[in-house]
Amino acid sequence: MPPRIASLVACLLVAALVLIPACGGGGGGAVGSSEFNAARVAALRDIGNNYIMPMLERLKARGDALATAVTTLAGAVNQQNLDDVQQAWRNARETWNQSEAILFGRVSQLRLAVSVDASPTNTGLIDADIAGTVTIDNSYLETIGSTRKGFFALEYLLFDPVGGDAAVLDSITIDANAARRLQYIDAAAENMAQILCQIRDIWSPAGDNFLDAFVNAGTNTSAYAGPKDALDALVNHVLVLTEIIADVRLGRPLGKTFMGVPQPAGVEAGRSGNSRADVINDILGVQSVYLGLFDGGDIGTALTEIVRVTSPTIDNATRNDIQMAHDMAMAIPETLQDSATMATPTVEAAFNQAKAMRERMVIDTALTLNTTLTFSPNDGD
Amino acid sequence: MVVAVVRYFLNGWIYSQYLEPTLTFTYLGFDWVRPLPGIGMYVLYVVLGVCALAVVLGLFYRTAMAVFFLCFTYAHLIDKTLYLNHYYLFSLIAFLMIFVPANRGFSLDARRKGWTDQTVHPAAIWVLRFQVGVVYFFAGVAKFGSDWLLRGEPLRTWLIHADLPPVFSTNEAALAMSWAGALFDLTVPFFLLWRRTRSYAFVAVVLFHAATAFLFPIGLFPWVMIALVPIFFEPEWPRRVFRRDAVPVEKRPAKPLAPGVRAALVVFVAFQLLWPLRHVAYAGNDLWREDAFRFSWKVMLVEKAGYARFRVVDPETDHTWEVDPGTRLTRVQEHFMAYQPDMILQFAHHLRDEWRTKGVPNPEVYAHVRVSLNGRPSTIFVDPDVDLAKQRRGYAAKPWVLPLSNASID
Repeated sequence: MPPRIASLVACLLVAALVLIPACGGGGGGAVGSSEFNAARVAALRDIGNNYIMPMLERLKARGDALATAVTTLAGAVNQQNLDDVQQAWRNARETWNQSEAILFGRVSQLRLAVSVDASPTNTGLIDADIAGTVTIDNSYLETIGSTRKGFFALEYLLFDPVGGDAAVLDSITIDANAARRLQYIDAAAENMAQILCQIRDIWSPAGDNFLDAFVNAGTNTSAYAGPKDALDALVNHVLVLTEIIADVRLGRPLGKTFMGVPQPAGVEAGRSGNSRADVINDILGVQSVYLGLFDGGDIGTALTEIVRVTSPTIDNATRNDIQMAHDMAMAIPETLQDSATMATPTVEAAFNQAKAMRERMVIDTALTLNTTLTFSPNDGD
Repeated sequence: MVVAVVRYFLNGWIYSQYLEPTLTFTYLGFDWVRPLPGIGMYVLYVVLGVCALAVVLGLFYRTAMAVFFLCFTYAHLIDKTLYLNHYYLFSLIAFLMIFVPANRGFSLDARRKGWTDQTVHPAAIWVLRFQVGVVYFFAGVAKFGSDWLLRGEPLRTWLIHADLPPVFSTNEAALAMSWAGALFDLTVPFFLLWRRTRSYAFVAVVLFHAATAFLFPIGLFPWVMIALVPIFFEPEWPRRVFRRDAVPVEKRPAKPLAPGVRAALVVFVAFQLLWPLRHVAYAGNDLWREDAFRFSWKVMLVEKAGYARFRVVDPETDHTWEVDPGTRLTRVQEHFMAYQPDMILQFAHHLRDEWRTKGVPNPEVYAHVRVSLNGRPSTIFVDPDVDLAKQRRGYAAKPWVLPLSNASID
């Protein structure tokens, strides 16, 4: 090659590397990074303001309602008041499961979720406390471990699948230590309401205002370096929840890690028969964050809009997989504990679809959201 | 390399890469290479740092270089998870430099021993130029595939997610940059070799690597390449730049190389030219199958993600166990294992051995793996009905890796 031409080629190479990207195309049929980033910022704003905050307000309200119902029960122990308490527990549990997808950030760092949702509960220690002499109140519960309080401690004290409500009523009226048992229920409900309130306050603009850190990620006051970090935190938390739904909520009663032999006792919330509802509400929580729905209404921009910027195909697949996971869980006959052995194929189908939902979200959805976008091991360190 | 060693200490990588894993993905034939016990790996990295510093100073150069090569190569043969193209390049350069008397000038050895002859045999320089040129050339060859040239992937995906002006995330920009990148890699070693184009090519090298460093978080690689490329300039350039008052070195005809050295060079060059092309011996898309991916300069070609779950079956009792690899691997290991067939097989064999020790004499291991490649929706990667416990490790093609399906959502 003549030297002059070679020099020209080298110059063109340099020019191409520098100039082509700057001039390339007019965007016909193309996707703009500004559109992706704008969708991401809008999603943080709308999910934070229109989903997370209302959901945490509801969670606090349901915690308060449970505590109020327990106070009423303590004042007059009867079947109606027990029914009200049990329903309040189920209502709080419903909101809790639907909120699990958003309990990330400061709430997660402070391990507040564990404080109200530790399973299995340590019934031996609870019984020992009730049989003992220690003063049972909220102050005491603040000092003890999470396996003696929260949803599952209350479930243990409020539900009895063998003796039924009669046994529960007996336990807080005529049994030995009935008064201390009722005190424990009262203290546990108060303690849980307090923690749910704390969770709300962490996000609330009137409290720690973590909402601002999430919505305005990247500002000096934010816990997140930028919108990508904030969205990553949310998405990763949702992904963890999808794993819990598949491997713990459904896989455990099927005995997936135990020779494939169903383990009905492995369900969570089996004592109240709420296990199936837990699964469904967890999936609804995932679906709400993905689609941007609160009480069936559109909250604005959510994950679906961001994914759609890059790949409508993957967005459709994700929507479909979540909906199918929900439908398959709905198809499980009550209770999940019984179905693990009596309707194993149905539970198995729900488990497989929950896994499919997780796989879709871990690989395709997260990649499209740029959450797990990593470079090949060949490319750098 | 001194900087790299310091980064290993500061970032806690010695613990996370060598001490935290409870099992490692060894290379075939190098199963004996394991993390050193106790504080061994820390000591090894201290030795690496000291040797790197000694090489920089030219002090006990050849010994330092040989020890550096052995320690560095050992450290990076421990686990496939740690594989990086530029680490492979470091090992090769370190190996070559054991034999290159790079301490003839500007070194404490030269001062200590009073050397006056600051020249080296031309072959010492040419072999290094060859090695750097091989990296670029085969990186360019590897880019001649449909994903890179026709779909603009994975650049398109990366650019969409980068915080850049919208023009960068157009399909046209991704394609233009892909083509420019391929042409750059393929041609730049030749332009560097030619004196008349060398300066322009060097500017292109700096701009190219600076741009990739700016756009993508790819660590030291761009800077390493910029640092290596001056080997293409005339050997006296450091003297011209740093010691303008120095007496020009007299150029003398090179002595013929000893037959043994010539033979070794031929073997080395032949290996470097043929080994990156071994993918032609395998059917299917190598970006997907990765039969011949490592040690082949396939740089920045894939954006992959995978998800793997395993099922162990006792055929005598029909008992099954679902295994989450995350319970046995670090997150980084799990991430890379999920889309690299040889690592999937090694993990399956690990489960087979584990269940044997648990009293299941003939466990079967099945994998459920989905992988996404370069913007495609994920698809099944491994035949879920194949008992991986019975598959052999080796260089043979892996028939249990399913072909890349362009079909979208299933």
